Amino acid sequence: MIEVSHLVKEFKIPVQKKGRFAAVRNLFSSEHTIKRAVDDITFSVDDGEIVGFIGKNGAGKSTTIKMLSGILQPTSGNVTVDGIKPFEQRMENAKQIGVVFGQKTQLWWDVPLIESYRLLKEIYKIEDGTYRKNLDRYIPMLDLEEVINKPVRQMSLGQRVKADICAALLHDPKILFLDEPTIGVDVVSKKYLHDFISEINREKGTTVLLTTHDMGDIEKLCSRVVVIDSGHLMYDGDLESMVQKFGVIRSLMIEFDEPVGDFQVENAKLTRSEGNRKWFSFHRSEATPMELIRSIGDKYPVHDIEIIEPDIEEIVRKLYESK
Amino acid sequence: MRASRGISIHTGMAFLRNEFYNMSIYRVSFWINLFYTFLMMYSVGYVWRALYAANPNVSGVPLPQMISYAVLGVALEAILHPRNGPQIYIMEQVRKGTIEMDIMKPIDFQFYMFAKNMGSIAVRFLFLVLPSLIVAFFLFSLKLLDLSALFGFLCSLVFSIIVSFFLNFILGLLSMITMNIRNINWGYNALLRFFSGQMVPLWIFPSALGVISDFLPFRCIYAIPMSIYIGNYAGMDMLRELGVQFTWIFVLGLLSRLLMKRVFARVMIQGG
Repeated sequence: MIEVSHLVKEFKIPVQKKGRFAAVRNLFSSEHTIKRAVDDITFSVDDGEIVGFIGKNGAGKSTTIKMLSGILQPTSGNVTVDGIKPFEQRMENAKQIGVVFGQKTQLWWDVPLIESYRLLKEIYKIEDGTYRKNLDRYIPMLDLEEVINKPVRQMSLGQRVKADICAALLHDPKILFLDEPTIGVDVVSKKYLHDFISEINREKGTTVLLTTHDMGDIEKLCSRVVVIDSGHLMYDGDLESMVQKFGVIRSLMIEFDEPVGDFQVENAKLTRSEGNRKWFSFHRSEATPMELIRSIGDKYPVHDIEIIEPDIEEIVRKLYESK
Repeated sequence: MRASRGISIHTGMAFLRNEFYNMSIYRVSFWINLFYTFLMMYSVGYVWRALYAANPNVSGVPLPQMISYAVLGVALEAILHPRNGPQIYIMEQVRKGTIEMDIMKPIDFQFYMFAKNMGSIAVRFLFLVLPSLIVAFFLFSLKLLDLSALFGFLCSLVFSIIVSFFLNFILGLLSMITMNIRNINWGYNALLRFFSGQMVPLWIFPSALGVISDFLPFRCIYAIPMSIYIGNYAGMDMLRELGVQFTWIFVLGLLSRLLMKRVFARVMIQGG
């Protein structure tokens, strides 16, 4: 569905002068530095997949999405979206994609929501039947009944993002690009968004490419993640393998029947002690929880245990830092 | 602006409704605008009456025609609203960073801006200008047109709207590069008011200034349709003037198209 190969995007950035009369000299300067925002990225997304596209701020995620939506021209490399080259065939591409930027809205600020939808219906040339059917379905699913006659200006952020997602899907796009859709959105609205996106994906087979900083989004929605950093591809694969590969440090909490002094265990490190409880961390390849419990249980009476898997946030942080 | 994109009644209505909401939301500003439009018509009418009382040959045309011309100038300005046209919308979208959302839509950007502009022109005509014009009509007993003049005037009016759109659109494209066009827009409007014959008819200008205005597109927006209305251009003269407007539409249309391509390429390569 989406093919990206050896994609590169360079920006020219004017050099800001420092020192005396810097502002004036800036006016006459044509000095530039080249910044590679996206550097040789290759990945593909299959029909009907939901792929999480993650990376630090400024990693090149939005730039890639903009190239996929045809509003930025790649410096080199190839992009196709369902066989269409987004930049060369911007109009054809625009009809088959839906785009939501969490920070920006495509809706008209002063106009009641339903009027924005009516105008989109004309711009996207959506059939009456499709339009009505989608609207009747999406509005209750996204809990938009109350705001449908309100202008975007008066909406809360959560309502606005939901309204934007609804707008992006009115024309039944094959592919949905979501760029940080949950940024600043409350937990209730977030749940609506998660449920809505997975429902649409399941029912219509819409392919979704999602960038986010919220690992909850990734866990709820994505089977696969693509991680980029400073324009480079860091990881591409399913979520579970990522946990296996990068979430190597696990933890074990043991609650004893009575307080015990600190002690050492082979292949594990004592990280925390609190009343009857102790926490140990260990490497996935060096020890299993069972071995640890057995060797500790031999010496002290164990009351309760808990295995703590590294959370995704932790893994991603490691991944970002591992470079 | 390819006609093949197909503008149906529905599309037109959708844009019109949108612009109606845009205007109706700022109610205070709407009433002030309505009051301003009416007041301007009233005052230009009275200014010319007073000038004619002092010197009946002040402009070389009879007073009723002069009043029609002046009132029409105010009406046209209120309809076209060149201070706050598509250029301001584009500039604000650029500054908010949401222009991408407009470019991303499967519709030719220029056509989209034109449709939006037409919506706002229709709304301004219906709600601002029509009521003021009706009052002014009775107040100054303005004259109605005969059929051929009316047809010429309507053609010229359409051309005027298109020329005005192209100029505004070109300014809007400039804002994609310079980010701010408030000063340019102010200068443009000053030139427009002076060289278009909107306030002061061009025929009372000294000849040197008249020549300058002949070579500028501004008179296509006001002087030509207004002069046709009062019968200053009739027959072959009218056709010639329509030809002048048409030529400017062609030139500005081509220019805006080329400029749009250049600016888009630049924005899309540089990332805005």
